[in-house]
Amino acid sequence: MSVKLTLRDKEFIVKPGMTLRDSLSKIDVLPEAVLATRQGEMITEDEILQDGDEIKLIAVISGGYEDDKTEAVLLGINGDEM
Amino acid sequence: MKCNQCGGKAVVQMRQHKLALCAKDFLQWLPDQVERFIKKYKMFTHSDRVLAAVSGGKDSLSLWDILWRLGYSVDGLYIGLGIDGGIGYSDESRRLTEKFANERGLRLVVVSVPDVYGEAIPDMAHRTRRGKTKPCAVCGLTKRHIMNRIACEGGYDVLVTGHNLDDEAAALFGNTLNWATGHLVRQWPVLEARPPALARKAKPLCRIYEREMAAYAMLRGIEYIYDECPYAEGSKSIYYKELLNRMEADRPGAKLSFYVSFLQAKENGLFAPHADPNAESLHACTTCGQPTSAPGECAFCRMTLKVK
Repeated sequence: MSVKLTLRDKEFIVKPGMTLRDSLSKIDVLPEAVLATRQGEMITEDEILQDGDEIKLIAVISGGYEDDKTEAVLLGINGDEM
Repeated sequence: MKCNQCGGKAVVQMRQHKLALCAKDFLQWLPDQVERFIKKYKMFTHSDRVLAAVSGGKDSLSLWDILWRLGYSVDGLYIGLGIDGGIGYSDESRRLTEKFANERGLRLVVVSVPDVYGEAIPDMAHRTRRGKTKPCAVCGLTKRHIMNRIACEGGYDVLVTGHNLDDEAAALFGNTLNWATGHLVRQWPVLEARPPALARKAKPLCRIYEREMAAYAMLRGIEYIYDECPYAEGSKSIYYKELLNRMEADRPGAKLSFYVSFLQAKENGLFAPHADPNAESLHACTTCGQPTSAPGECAFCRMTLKVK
C-alpha cells in the first residue's frame, strides 16, 4: 500500500489516502515549488492519492541569474557598478 | 476540485486568487491577465515592434507564445552562452527555442557568445575577477549588453523579458535586505528608454506566479528546457524564492502582496528619485557606443577586450 512521488531524480513513498498537499508536506516539498501530474494529467492539491498512484512532481522554480534577474537588469545597462 | 468558471475538473488551483480552473479556462485566463498588465503598466501596444529575450525556459517561451497569441508583433532573441555543464545546456536550450519558433513561423535572432566574442561564458568568467567564484555576473552583464544592442540595432520599440512575480518578489526581497536604494528606485514593470541608446524594457509576466507559468507551458504543450542552468545551484535568487514560498504556503498571496504593495508605495512617493545613484545622465561607451554609467569604456567592453 503506497504512493510513489518523484521529483527530478528523487523518489518518495507515502501512504495512500492523503491529499497531495498533505503528501507534499510529509516529504517537505513546498506546494508552491512544484506541479503534480498523475498519468500525464495535472492534479490539484486536494486530490486524494490512491494506492499505486505514481505522481510526477515538476519543479517550477528557476534562478541562478542573480545578477541578471535581481539587480542590474533593472537598470539594464552595462553595469559599471558591478 | 471544480473549475470556478465551467464547473469541470480543475487542474490548477491558485490560492492567492481563490481561483481554480480547468485546462481550457486556464489557457484563456492567463493570457488575459498578461494583457491586462501590459495595458495597466502601459508596456506596449499592438502597433509596437516587440523583441522577446528567450532562453528556452518555461517563462520566456510561454511569454513569446502568449504575446504571439494576443496578436502582438514579436520577434525572439536567443543568446547562446556556450554553457555545457555535462548536459549540453546551451545546445539543448537553443534547439528547443528554434523548434518553438519554427513551429509557429516566428522570427528568431540568434547571437552566439563564443562565435561573436571568442569565448564561452564559463571561460570568460574564469578569466575575470567578477566571475571567479560564479559566472552569473559575467553572464548577466553579457546578456544585458547583447539584448540592448540587438533591440537598438533592430529598431524595436521595446525589449521584453520573462521575469515573473517570483523573480520580482525575490529581487525585491534581496534589494530590501540590502537596502539597495538604487535598485529599489528602478524596480518597476517598465523601464523607459534613456539616451544614449538604452532600449525600453518591460516585464509582462511581473504579476504572474512562476508556478502558473510552468502550468501554462505544460498545458499548452510547450517543450522547454527543464534542467536548471548548471551554475544556478545555491544561488541567492533561488534561496529567496524558497523563503518567500514558505510564507506563501502559510499565507496565500504573501508574494503578490509584497510586490504589489511595493509598487503602490512607489506610486505614492516612497522613494525619492535621487536615491538612485545612477539617476544622472548616462555616457556612451567609447568603444561600442552603448550606455554606461561612467565615462570611458563600458564594463562589457573592458571584459571582452581582454580576450582580444
